[in-house]
Amino acid sequence: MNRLLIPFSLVAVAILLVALQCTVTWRWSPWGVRLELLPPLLVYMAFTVNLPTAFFLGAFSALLYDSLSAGAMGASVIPYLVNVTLFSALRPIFFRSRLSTRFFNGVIAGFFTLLLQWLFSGKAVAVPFGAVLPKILRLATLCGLLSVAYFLVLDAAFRASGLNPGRFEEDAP
Amino acid sequence: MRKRSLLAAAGLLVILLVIIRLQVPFALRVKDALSEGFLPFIEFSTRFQGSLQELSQRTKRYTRLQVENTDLRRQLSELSSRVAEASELERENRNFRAMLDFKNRSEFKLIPARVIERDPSNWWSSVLVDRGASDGVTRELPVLTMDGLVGKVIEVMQNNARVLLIIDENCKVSGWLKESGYYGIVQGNVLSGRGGAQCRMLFVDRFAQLQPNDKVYTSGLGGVFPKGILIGNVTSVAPAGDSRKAALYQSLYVTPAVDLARIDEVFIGVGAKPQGTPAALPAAPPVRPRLRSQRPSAP
Repeated sequence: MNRLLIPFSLVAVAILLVALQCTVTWRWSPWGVRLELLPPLLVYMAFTVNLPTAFFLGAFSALLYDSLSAGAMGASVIPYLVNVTLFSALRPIFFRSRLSTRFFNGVIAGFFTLLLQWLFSGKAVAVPFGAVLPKILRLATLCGLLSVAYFLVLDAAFRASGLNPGRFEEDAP
Repeated sequence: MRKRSLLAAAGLLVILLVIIRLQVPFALRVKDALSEGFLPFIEFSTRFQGSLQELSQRTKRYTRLQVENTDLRRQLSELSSRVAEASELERENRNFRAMLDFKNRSEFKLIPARVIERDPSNWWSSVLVDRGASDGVTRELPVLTMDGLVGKVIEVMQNNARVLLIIDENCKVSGWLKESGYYGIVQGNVLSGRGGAQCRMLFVDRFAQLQPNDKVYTSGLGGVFPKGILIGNVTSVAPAGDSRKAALYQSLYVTPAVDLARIDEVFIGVGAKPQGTPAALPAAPPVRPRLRSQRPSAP
């Protein structure tokens, strides 16, 4: 039961974040951009559950996100899965508990997710890269900050439930 | 010991007898002296009793006030929530009345719809409304509010439809500047955010004399959007670079008339009303032919 609690909780968190992204971010946009709440969660997933579970969670989040967007269904699947796979594979070389790890991985995840989403959205013809780069950079920075927040809040919540979300760091060879 | 007590009692008795038997004036003086001696204590006792009574009354009053306060707070909280509810209902009622009025006055057949979801992606500006194919909604229908144009329907499901907002780069509307009579294409500008405006009007004649806050309406060309729906106001003219000074057209920044981040109710235009229905939208003047002789000279 405990083994399934973290993945199911992450599914619930993903649903909640997509719901928030559909409502709150339209009315509250810090730094002139609508917050992207899912890319930092991908980092958290990759650092918290094993690769198959993270893969499943990433695919689920991407499909949920795409189903509510005007973009093509599946346009976010590749960016999300690439991110989840990369961070899961690179997990042993990072110290999960460090704030810098959380922040910079959040920034990288945000940057690549948004860049790939922009490429797959077909907007590259109408909007040149130079025009969207500042927006992507701002969003990526906010993703880094959100990543730090997610690690703090979700780790605390899981530990309060008697779980150890950072188990992989200790198990890693 | 016992003898001493008996002696003291006898002495006291004698003193009392003497006092009782005293002459009236002398007795009065004694009485006065004694009462003078005792009065401060009595006064203190009276005051103390008064204070106790006051304290008791205050305590009772405090308890009563506390109960009353709790009750009033509860009532205040209830009334505040009722006032908030009433003002929200009033706002909603006013809004619905205005919408109904707009719907009746409009020359289009309008279906009211509620926005139920906004696009989570940064790369798309769209909303989902609670009307779909079962309500007669089809693709490419215009979506508007009382304030102006919102966008067009791009996806239709059984009970929902997705509306692409005019601020999206993929939404292009044929626009018409009412004051000067020039035409152009209004396109979303929200991703690049150039000029601080959410839309751009492209392909406007380079000789067009424009004023800030000129109103941009739909021209009716293209067949998707009916003529005369307000799109927005001109904010500024996009600066042309040196290489573009010889360009045939100029582009303008346009701020949408509708606050698209806060729309909750919209109308989907599903066609023209039957003949005889009064029109509400501002009637667009006849299209002015762009004759070379009418153009102002180049600066």
